[in-house]
This record gives sequence, structure tokens and C-alpha cells, in this order.
Amino acid sequence: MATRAAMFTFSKFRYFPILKHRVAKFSVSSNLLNASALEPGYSRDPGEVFFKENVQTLLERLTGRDCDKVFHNRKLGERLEPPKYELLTQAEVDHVMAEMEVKLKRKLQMPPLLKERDPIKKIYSFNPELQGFDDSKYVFINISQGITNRNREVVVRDPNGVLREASWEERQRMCQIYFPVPGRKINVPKMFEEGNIQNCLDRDEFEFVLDRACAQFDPDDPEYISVTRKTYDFVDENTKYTSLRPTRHFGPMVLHLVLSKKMDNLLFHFINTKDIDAAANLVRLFHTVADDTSPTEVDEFQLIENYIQGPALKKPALELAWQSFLEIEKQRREVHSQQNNASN
Amino acid sequence: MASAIPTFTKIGKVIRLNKHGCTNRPFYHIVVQKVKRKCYISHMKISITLKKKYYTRDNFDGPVIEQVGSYDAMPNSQHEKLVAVNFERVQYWLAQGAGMSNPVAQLLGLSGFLPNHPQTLIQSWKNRREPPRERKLQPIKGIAPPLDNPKI
Repeated sequence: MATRAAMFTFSKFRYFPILKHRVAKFSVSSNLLNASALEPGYSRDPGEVFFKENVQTLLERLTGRDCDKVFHNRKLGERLEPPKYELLTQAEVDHVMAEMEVKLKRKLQMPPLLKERDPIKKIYSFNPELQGFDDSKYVFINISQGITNRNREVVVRDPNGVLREASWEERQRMCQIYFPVPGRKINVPKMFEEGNIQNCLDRDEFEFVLDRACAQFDPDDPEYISVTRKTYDFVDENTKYTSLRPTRHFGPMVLHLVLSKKMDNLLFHFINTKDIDAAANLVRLFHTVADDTSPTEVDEFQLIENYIQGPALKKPALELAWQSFLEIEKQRREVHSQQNNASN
Repeated sequence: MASAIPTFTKIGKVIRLNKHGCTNRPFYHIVVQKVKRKCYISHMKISITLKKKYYTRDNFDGPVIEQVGSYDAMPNSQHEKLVAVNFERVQYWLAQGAGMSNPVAQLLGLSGFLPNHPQTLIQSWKNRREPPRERKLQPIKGIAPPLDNPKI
């Protein structure tokens, strides 16, 4: 035992048993990392769920298409132009509407909900003979044409002689220096720090925060995930869904709420605003995500009732809202039938 | 690659560092340039020692054929020296028989594209044996520290 210990202290690099343990830890650690990232009630990888076709169609239907709000003037420091009025034939109008459809789809493209990326740990070579060459590290980036920034080789030579792949932060910084993306800063803006984000959210600037997060980070960046989750949870707690409803962020927010089992507030909001289509779609989404089944009830009212009786978490509030909605519906139908009888 | 350090031809293309930036702030472009041999300014009627002082390499080298990267010799706030290299083009020019200057070969060795240059190893060993000369003047509190002047 003593000799083994001595061997370890004198020649760390030739004694490998401890390395085996480390390798085993790395293969398991990705799960551990995910567990900590998925603390707020996520049971599964959101990336798997987000890209399914049925989930995408449901989210698109929930987002809706309020053209006025989607194309609203944004304060980007550019000159705002007054609206133009033109006289067009029906064919020209159809042509313009088709163009607008394409633009609408682009503006409403949802940023994906992914799990946190694993940190980069690859080492290419270890040259202790190069120690002392320089105090600072050398960061090399391959500026060849034809490769995407995600695949670009960014490599760091540390002062201790290790040649390793650059970490995600280094890589993003280097790519932004040499291949800048508009709207993205080289260093993370102070807005995304703890206290400052809360300040923005208190002022109801949800769309601004989310748009800037989209511009600044990649969707699997841990910072992006924490910023977006904070925003979604804040919006949910204060039920300020209307400001985000027609934007591209509504879909990912709804999916986040469904995955973290917080969708009851949203359902309550839909029932109160009498948006039964949206409520039904939300319940369908819940079933798709939970069991990957599409529920058999065709009637939307029955669907929502089954959900409220069954898997809902905030039963009292939802039942009350549902009962009051049903009464209003009944009265409305009575008045409608009376009107029909009177006209007949 | 046949040899780790390519041969330097007298007339040919070379991949080397061209110094840009300004005083106390070096910044290099990694360029491909056609190089002729050193030339003195023969028409000037002055002694040969003075001519040697006045010869310029730049006038007698060809224009830059292609810029193939950059090297920022000043470390940034994260203590990094940034080097951007278009490895695809470097590979092309090396295949065309271009030479490389010493610093460029060292940089590419550090990046892992080429094997480590012997000069890098020699310099590291020297630095470890005797650390590079430190500043003799100490900064006085409240007054800006002096510029790095090795003569003081």
C-alpha cells in the first residue's frame, strides 16, 4: 500500500487506476448535470418533446396569429415609417397576403426548448515541455469559409502546455469576434445578471428580455435556459399571458409550463377569457406530452371537464371557473334559442 | 509533411507575420507574400554600413498575395492571445511550396496544426531556467506605473 501511494505522488501521469474511476464518473455525470438542470419538475428531455409534429401543431394553434401584434413597430433605434395605403386588385391583394404569410411564419418561428449542453472536456495533447513559453494562453480559431460556427475548430493552448478544445464560453466569444452575429455582444450583457433581470421583469418587459436572450445565447446554453425559465415562471405567477400571446415565445412557454406541471393557471386564464379552443388545445397538449396519446373525446367541453376532474392540480379554482363558464354558456344558449323562436 | 520545418526559398512565397498596430501595441497579419532577397538601396551615395541601416525589406517584397489570418500579441482582459488562421488556405499554400517564417511555424506548432517547433521548446526551457527580465521600477501608489522600458 505504501509503495502504491509513493508511485502515485512521484509519477501522476504513469499511474492510471484513478483515471478509470474518473472515466466512469464522466459517463454518468451527464445524467447528474441534467438532474440539476431539470430541478423545476421536468421529468424528461424537453428537446425530445418539442420537435414532435403533433406538439408543434398544437403550439402553433395556441399561439394564434394576431397580425397586428406580430408586426407591431419595435423600438430598435431605427426610423419608424407611417403606414402606407394602396389601391390593389384582388389578385394583387392575394399576392401580398401570400408574402405576409411567409413573413408571419418567420416571425412566429419558435425558439426551441432544449436541455443544457454538456461542457466541452476534450484534450488534444499534453506537452509539459512547453511550460514557461508564455504567461497567457493562446486561443486559435479556424477562419476557413464554409463551416458553421457550431462546427468551427476553436482550440486553446494553456500556459501549462495542454492543448484542449475551447470551452463553450470561449468558443462563443471567439466566434462573435471573428464572425459577428447582429444583436449579440461579445461579453454577456449585465442585463442577464440576477438582480437586473428581475428589474426588467417587474417592468413587464417580457418580450424584450426573451428576444434579447434569443439573440445573445444559443438555445442549449445554460444561461439562456435559466433566463427563459425565470421569465416564463414570472409570467405564469403573475398571469400576464396576454403580452406574450401572439409572440414566438408563447409556444415554448406553454411547453415549459406543461412539462413542469404548472399549466393550471393558464387553463384558468383561458376559461375566464372564454377561449375554449385554446383551453381544449392545452388539454390535448397535456395528454400528448404526458402519455403521447391523443384523447378520444371529440367534444371540447367533455375534454376539459375530464381534465379538471382528473389530472388537474388546482381543482377548486378550476371547477369554480368552469361552473361559472357553463352557466354563462347555458344562459347565452337560452337567449339565443328565444331569439330564434321569436324570429320564427 | 516531409519535414517539420519547411525550407525557406530565396525567391518564392512565404507565410509570415506582417506587423500592424502601433507603438506599444503590436498586431500581426499572417500573410502570404512573394519574397525576394534582401536589397540595398544601391543608388544612394553613402557608405555600405549606412546602406545596411537603410535597407527595407518591405519595398523589395512583393505585395501581400493573401491574408491568411491574424495574431494579436497583446493579451486581452482574459489573458488570451487571439490567433485566427485560415487553415484550409495555409494548407493550400504549403502544398504549393510556400515557406514559413519562424514565428508562423511556432504559432502553428502551438495550435496543433504542425508539430511543436524546436525554437518553442528551447525558449520554454530558457524561460524556466531563468525567468524573463522583470521590471526594476516599482509602481508608486496614486501615480500611473511607468511604461515597460527595459533600459531603465
